[in-house]
Amino acid sequence: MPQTRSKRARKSKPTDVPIPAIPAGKGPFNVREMPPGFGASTNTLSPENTLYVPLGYDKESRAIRFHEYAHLELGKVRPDLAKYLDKAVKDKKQPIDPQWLQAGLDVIVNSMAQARDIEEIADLPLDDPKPTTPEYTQAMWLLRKLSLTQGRVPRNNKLPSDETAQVQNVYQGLLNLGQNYTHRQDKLDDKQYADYIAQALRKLQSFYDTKEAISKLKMSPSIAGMTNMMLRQALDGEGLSGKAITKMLGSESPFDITHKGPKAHYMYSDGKDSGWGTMSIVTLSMDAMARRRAPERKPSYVGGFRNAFRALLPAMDGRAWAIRRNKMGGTILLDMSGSMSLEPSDIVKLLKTAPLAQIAGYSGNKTTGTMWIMAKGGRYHNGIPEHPGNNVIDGPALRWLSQQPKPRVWISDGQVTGTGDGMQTHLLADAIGIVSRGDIERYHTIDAYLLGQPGDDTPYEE
Amino acid sequence: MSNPTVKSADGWAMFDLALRYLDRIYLYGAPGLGKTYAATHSRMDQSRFKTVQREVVNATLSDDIVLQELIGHYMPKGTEFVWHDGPVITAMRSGQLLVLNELARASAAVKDAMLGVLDGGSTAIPLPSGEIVTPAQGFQVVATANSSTDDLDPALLDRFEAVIWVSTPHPQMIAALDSEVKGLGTAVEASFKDSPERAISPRSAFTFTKLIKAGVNPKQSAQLAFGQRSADIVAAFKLAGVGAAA
Repeated sequence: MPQTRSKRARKSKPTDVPIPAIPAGKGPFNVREMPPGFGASTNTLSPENTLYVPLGYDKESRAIRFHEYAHLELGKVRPDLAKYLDKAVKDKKQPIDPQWLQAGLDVIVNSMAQARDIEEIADLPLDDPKPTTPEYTQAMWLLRKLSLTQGRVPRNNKLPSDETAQVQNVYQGLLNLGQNYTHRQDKLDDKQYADYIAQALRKLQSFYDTKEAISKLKMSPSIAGMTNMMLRQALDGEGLSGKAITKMLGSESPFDITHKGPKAHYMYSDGKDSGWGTMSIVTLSMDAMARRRAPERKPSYVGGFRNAFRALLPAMDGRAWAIRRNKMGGTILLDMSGSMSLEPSDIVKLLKTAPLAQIAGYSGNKTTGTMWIMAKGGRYHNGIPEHPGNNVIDGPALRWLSQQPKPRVWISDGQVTGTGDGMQTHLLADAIGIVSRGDIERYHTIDAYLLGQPGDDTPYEE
Repeated sequence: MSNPTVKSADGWAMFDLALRYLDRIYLYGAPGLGKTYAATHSRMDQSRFKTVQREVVNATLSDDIVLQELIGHYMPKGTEFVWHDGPVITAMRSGQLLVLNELARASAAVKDAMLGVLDGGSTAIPLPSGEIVTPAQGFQVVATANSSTDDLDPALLDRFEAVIWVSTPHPQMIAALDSEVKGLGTAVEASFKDSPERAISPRSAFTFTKLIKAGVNPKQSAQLAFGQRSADIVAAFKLAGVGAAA
C-alpha cells in the first residue's frame, strides 16, 4: 500500500534550518538559499516575510544567519526604527546614503549579537578591500571590521591615522547603541534611536563626501547585491524573469538581459572593466565509438497506456512498463569547474542516452579558458582532458552552445564567473540572457539530466 | 459528508469550549503540541462533571493494537477464565473521559469497532458474555492525531461532533516551559509562527530544560535536544533573552 504523506518519514530540508520567527516575533517566512559570497538579506516590512541566507552548517554560513537574526531582533524590539531611518535617507538637507546606513546597522546588530554572547558572529566573512578601493569604501569596511574584532584596528587597514580615529569614534557610538538596544536599556524611543544612528553616520558621510564618490558608480553595491539574488533565482527558473528584472531596475541597470545587439560596457566601483575570459576551442581525438542499444524498458506509470496487457502484471514496485526514450542528438555543454567534479565515466553515461550528441566541456583560469569538443557524431574522446578548476569562460561557451544543434543542454551548477574567477552581477545577467535567448535547458548535475530534472533540482526531498 | 474542521488561530480555546459541551471530539495537529496533555488535563475543571469523581482513560493506538486490547478479553485466573474490561469498556461503564491517541494509526478492525463506540446515545457494545454495555452518563471521547482527517473513513469522522485543528503548543505547556527557563516557552511559541518544519518541538524544549536543570551546560544541552539546528536555536534564544541560553 503506498504510504501517505503523513506516514512517510519527513526528511528535513536545508530551508528548515534557520529559525527567523523567534528573533522576528512573526512569520511565516519564505526562506531561500543564498550561497556565501552573494550576500544575505531579510525583509519583514512587506506582507511576505523573506529571509535570504546561506543554509550550511559551516562557520561562515552560521555567522551570516545569526547576523540576519540580529537584524530581525532589532526590527522586533524597535518596530518604528525602519520608518525613521527611511526619513533620514530621504532627508532633503542631510540625506544619509543607504550604503552608510547599511554599514552602521551592521555594526549595531553585530554589537547586539556580541552583547548576547553570540561568539559565532566573529566568523562573518568580510573581504579585505583592494588597494584601488575608494577611501570611503575602506572606511565602511573598517567600520564593519571593528564590530567583528571588538574594536581592534586590523593590520591591513590602509586608512590614514586621522581617518581611522574618525571611524573608531563613530564605531564607539554605534557599539553603545548596539549593546543597549532595548528601550529598557537605553531609555530612547525609536525616533531618538534613529536620530543617534543618523547623527553618527552623517559625520563620516560628510567627511568622505560620499555623494561625489557614489556618482562615479555605475551601480550601488546594495542594488548589485539584490540584483545578484534575483538573477540567481532567474537562472533557476524561479522568481522574476530576466526581462522583468531588467524592467524593474530601469535606468539604474547597467545591463539589458534581453539585449539583442552588442553587449553593454560594464564598469565597477574601482573603475576597471570586468568580463568573460578569452576562450579557445580544442577538438579532441575521438577514437571510441558510442554504443547504440535497443530502447530500454523501465518502470513507468505511462506503461498502462502504451502496453495495456503488460500493465496488468505490475512490477514489484507496483508500476507498469514503458520504453525509455533516448535523447539521440543535440548538444551538451559541461561546466568542468572544480565544483562540478567531472569524471570520464560521465561522458559514457551521457552517450548512453544521447549517442549522437555533440558534447563539449569547458573551464578556465585567470583570464583565459578552453572548451574541448569531446564527442560528436557517435564517436568520443576516451578520457577527460587536464583542466584548470575555474569557470572564467561561461559566457563565450554558452554563446557557442546557443549556435549549435538543438536540443541544447548546459550542465552546470550555475556559478558563473569571469576573469579572476570572480562572480559578477553583470556576468550572471549576461549568462541568463544567453540561456534564455538560446533556448538552452540547464541541469545542475549530469545525474539530474539523466533523470530529466531541469532547473532547481535541489538535493533534498520535499 | 464529514464534519467541517475548525481551523482557527485560537484552536485551543475552541477545544476547551467543545470539551465543555460535546461528547466526541477529534483533535489533530503537529506532534508535541500537547494534544494528549490538553485532553487529559483540561476537563478537570468542567462544571458538568463536578459531581462525578472520574478519571481519564488513555489508549494509544497503532496498527498492532488489536480490538481485544481495547474492548476486553478473557484472562486465565486459577482454573477458570475471567472477563477483563479493556479501556473502552472501562470508560463506558464508569462514564469517564476516553482519550484515544493517534486514532488515524489504528488498524481497520479497530476503526470499524470505533464506529459503534462513537455512535452517541445509541452506542451499545455486545460482549462475548452476552452482556450489552451502554455508556454511563459522562462518557466522553477525545481522539487525537498528528495527521489531518484525510486518513479517516468519512463514516468514522462523521461521528465526531467537532473536528479541531491546533497549530500552536498548548498555553499551559508554554507556561510550564517559561516557568522552567525564563522566556523559553514564549520563544517556542514564537517559532510556531513560521512553517511547522521550522518550529521548535515543545518535547525537545522540555528535554533542553531537563538537561539544563541537571547541570549540563547550555551548549551541550542544546546539541542533545535540538541536534544540528542547535547553534541556530541557541543564537535565536540568546537574542530573545531566553534565560538559560543568554
